[in-house]
Amino acid sequence: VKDLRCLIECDQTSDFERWLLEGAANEQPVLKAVARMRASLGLSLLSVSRVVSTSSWKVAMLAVSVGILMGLRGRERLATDHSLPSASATTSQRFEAVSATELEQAPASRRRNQALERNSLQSRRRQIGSKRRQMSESTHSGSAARRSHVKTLPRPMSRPTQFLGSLMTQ
Amino acid sequence: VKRNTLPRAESRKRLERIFEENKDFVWRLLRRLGLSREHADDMTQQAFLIATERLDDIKRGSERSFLFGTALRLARTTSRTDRRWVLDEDVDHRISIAPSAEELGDQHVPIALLDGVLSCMQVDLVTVFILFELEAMSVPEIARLLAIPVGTAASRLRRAREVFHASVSRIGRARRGGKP
Repeated sequence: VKDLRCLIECDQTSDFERWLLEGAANEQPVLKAVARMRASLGLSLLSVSRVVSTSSWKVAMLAVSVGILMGLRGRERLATDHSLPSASATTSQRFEAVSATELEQAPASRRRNQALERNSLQSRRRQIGSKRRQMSESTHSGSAARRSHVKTLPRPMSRPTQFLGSLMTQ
Repeated sequence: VKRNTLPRAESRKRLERIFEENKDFVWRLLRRLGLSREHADDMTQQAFLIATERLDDIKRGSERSFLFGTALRLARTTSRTDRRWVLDEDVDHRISIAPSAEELGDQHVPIALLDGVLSCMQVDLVTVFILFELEAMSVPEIARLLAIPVGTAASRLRRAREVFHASVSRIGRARRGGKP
């Protein structure tokens, strides 16, 4: 609005000229573009803090630290899911082991393995779900005989120790 | 190890200083030579990348001159379709189309108008004019930067001012509804 007012109201040509030149003299690249330039030149982004306000800088640092923490936790979970050399291995050893296996595997094969794992997990979940549904249906039917039958149904064995225990009792 | 890392750290520090001192200058120069904001960003980055590669060849104290020459060359080689200035005589038409609705919304009216005016001037005149009027450089400094005699720089500035004044007067007449 201020700019447009000057465009209309500046009667003197010299004022109008000055107005034109002042606008262009203060034009600057946006901070995002400057940061990109700095990154491409390999210059430290810390110098950007001189021009960025403190609050936004703090927010950015907080976001980065939270991101790092989330990444570490995700990797830790991944490390525990994989078969590791020993259960008593330290966190750093686990990371090394996981990263080594990741490096050994090609990206395509790793993706394939992940997909297979996901499929097997889903099928197992489906099986458990269907069994649970069967059990709930039979319990809600109201027949005592069926209830007793349900009680005798073998439960899914989740652990090898349970399986061995059942064999021993038989 | 120290012998290898010390020059690298020094050159990094030098590059940092060059970038901080000249980034706005190079960017504004490219903008006034008719590049859009996005193209000016890209070409500024390109100019500094070239400077980084040739950092050892650039004499101390003449970094701005090197960057200026590089930016001028980059602006010239940029595709004409991406540039907003064309050396034609249809000043009023160019000025009337200069500020787009988007630019008006961003309150970039004076910049768009100035670019419209500069687009009607010769590149040599524009260069001297923006160095003097926008970058507040003296005539001897401009002459050094462009590697031309001081008299030539002063003459170009005088001509550039005449053209600029005439263009602005035309806009003024247009604003007043064609009255002299």
